[in-house]
Amino acid sequence: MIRAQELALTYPTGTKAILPCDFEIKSGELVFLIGPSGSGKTSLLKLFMGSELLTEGSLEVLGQSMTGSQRNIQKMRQWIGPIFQDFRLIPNKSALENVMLGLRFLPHIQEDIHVISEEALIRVGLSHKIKSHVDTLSWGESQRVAIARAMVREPKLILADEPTGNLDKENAVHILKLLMDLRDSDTTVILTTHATHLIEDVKNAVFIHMNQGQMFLERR
Amino acid sequence: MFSNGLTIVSNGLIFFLLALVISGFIITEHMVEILESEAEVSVYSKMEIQEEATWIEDLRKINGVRDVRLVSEEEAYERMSAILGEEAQVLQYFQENPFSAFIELSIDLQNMETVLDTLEIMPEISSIRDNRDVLGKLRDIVKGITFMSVLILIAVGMTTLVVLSHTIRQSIYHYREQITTLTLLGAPMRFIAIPFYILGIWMSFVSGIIATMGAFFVIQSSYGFMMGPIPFIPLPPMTETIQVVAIYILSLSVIFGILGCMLGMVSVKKQ
Repeated sequence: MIRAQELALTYPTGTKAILPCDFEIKSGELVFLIGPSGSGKTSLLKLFMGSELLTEGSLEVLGQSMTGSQRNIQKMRQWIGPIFQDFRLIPNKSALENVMLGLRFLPHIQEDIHVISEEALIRVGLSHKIKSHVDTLSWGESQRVAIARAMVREPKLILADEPTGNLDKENAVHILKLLMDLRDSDTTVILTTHATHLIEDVKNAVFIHMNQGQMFLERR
Repeated sequence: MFSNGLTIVSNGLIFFLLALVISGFIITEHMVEILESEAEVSVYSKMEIQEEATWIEDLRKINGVRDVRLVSEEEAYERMSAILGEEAQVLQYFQENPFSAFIELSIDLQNMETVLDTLEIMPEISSIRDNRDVLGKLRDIVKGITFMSVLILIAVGMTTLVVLSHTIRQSIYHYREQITTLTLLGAPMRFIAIPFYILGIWMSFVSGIIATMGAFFVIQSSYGFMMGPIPFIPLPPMTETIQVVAIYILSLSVIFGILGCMLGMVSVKKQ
């Protein structure tokens, strides 16, 4: 699924975001990236998405080398479900249209995208907001639309950057549960979080502790 | 939205200038064509000119001569009377007709030099009068306008490209987060680029329409102005001039629109 060897990232400013490290994440694993702000969590997610390019070592995501051609990386993204901290929903469009947009570029989805997008919104508890414009949704609702958009893609890998950030405990627990349930469909879920108190009791997961670009991997 | 409106207006003004130059070019070129088709040479002889004379038959055989016609002394007098109009009474002071008969040759302007060289060595001919100077000056004017048109076309092209590419870059910058999101969702580059191409071509085309409308009113009023007090200027049909200007401006606006978008995209990609 994901294999890193001597992986490192240094920004053009000279900041070492990720120090050389080796790790492997297997298919269907639930991975929490934990650490304080500026520890390199988001940088690592960006490397997995291919929106940052590694400066040392090698990284393979879904069998695709992240130092390869941009065209291949773009093809590989069809199998990723990204969830952004700021949701990145397209404004002036409904929740349904946003979820459908997540499917528009996927040749492997054969079903009626309208139907499966509606089903995804119902799964995340937004049956009453399907036609609502995303600009009118609350933070928790917007985050759930973003999750529905990622889930509906039938991805092999979900990358979620602080999906519980800015949410109250009830919403955060609900969203974590939604993401953790994806393990059942053999989807690998990697998420960053500050909310360590919410994941203290989580089992069968990988915890990557990050601090100043260094990382420590723990399987529970 | 406001900057898009400004782009449309400024490009519209630039295209309007180009439309004026193109219409000027069409009109002068038409004038020269008409004058060239009426290019004539007058040939005088010391001998009495008789239509059936052999040397006159020889004139018809010269390459480039379209027609040969004898203008009698009487016809020459009448022509001058017509030219002088009310002043023609001055001719009455002559006791005899002061004009001599001559031969009028209609010629192809391209062969003017050859025709004149041949005429000069014919012993029967005493003098030749042609309108080479007038045509030469008109040609110079056409050359000048052509040169100016090319310069303005280059200037218009460059300005439009810079303005449009800058607007497209600004637009891409405005939507950068949505573009990143779409890229990470696997959208192909063409899907992201097409709306910006549509925007650029649409803005440029609207500018072209504004310029064409402006040119339509200017051409219409200019024709009205010229056809009244100076009716002898051979103008091309007005609808034809407007059609040609519209086709040029609208086609160029689309071409510059596409090129401007490409330039904007390339500059964003480089960054």
